[in-house]
Amino acid sequence: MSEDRISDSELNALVDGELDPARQAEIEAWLADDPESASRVARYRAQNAGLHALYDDILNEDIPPKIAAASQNSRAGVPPWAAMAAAIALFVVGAAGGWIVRGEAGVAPVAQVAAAPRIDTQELMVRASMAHVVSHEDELRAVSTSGKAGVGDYLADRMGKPIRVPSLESFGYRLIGSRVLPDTDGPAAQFVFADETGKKVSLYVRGEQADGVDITYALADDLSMFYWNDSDRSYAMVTRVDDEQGREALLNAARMVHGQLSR
Amino acid sequence: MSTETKRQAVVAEVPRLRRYAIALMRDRTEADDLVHDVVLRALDKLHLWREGTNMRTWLFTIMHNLHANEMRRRSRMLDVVPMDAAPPRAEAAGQEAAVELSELSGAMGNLSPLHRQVLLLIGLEGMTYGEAAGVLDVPVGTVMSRLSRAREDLRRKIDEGTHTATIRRVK
Repeated sequence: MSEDRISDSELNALVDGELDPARQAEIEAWLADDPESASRVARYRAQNAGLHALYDDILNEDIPPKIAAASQNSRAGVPPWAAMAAAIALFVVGAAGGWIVRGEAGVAPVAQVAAAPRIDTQELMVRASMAHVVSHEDELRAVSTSGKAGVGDYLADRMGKPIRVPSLESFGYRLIGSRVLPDTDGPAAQFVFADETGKKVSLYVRGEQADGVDITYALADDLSMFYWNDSDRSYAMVTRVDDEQGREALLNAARMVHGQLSR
Repeated sequence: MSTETKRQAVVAEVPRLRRYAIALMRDRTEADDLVHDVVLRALDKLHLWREGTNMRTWLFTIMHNLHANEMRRRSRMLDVVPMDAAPPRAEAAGQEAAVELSELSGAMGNLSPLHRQVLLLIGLEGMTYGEAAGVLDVPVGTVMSRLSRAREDLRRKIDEGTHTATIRRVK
């Protein structure tokens, strides 16, 4: 590199505003006599402007519901109900924003109805969380008296479709009961497990036809859940988790149940 | 600063995290999955963020580490397919601005991920060399040399995309 050429790093530093003002003025003066360097500076600046033109629209997009839900995690002592209410409000805002954007693009609203539906994460989260919080043992249908097959039949009768009864015995969790709960599109089922210390994990199953979702993590205050779906049901495993280990354990439990139910 | 205020500060950065992730990964689903994981991790580790330091660079650092882990995991699982071939282009007269952007987008896609990272952190996110060095966990000198090569490479790829018939002299 010849001495009268401006160095690569100084050209870049000029573009990025990393030079001190005196040096910047000096380099800018030199550029007048160095068309090649001047053209490179212009090209680099155009690259930056192009990147903004390509990607800045993303800044104005609605935050996807999944990320909005994840960001509801708060350890500031907000009661779970408040966090859930905030999650619902966020979802409603997001949906409204979507309508406006699509309206401007000139797409008929009917097209939205026809599009493959996405799993309603917020609805699933709220229902599974509420069911988990109010799952006292005396409200559940005990498994011990009727046996597993009995519970399955009982739920199948009420949900109108056979459902396997998952087992978490290998994780040290015993099925302590299950029940049928009202949901928007008919009855939902809940299975509640507990370990020997009484720590509970529950599985919420609701009828929902939506695009497939892999096992995904979500948080509602101090309740953690992993949710997923198959062709006509969505599932959420819920528990109170306070560390990464607990979350890992819940994920493994969710994987196991997912495997059992999709067989 | 209360935990709730910090949480809000994390949420406020989500649009920028998404812009960077989408530009870097070039796949919205994957990018949103990454941002989702960054938000979870950040809220989990909120007590580790030191007040008075830059929340944005802290979040970008978390994102860089999660992304790097994921890339390492994938490179162990999958054969890496080199992306040398430029995407097919359509000639469109009278739409120069639009064509240039699509050229830029295509050329960005053909950059190495390391070059893309540094170019986006500085050119798009407006980080200083020092901030980018912190996010990428490399010395400032490395950021500068990478950036310089990235810009030249991008310039070359755009030119090749625009004038495919022209043979460029490589110095």
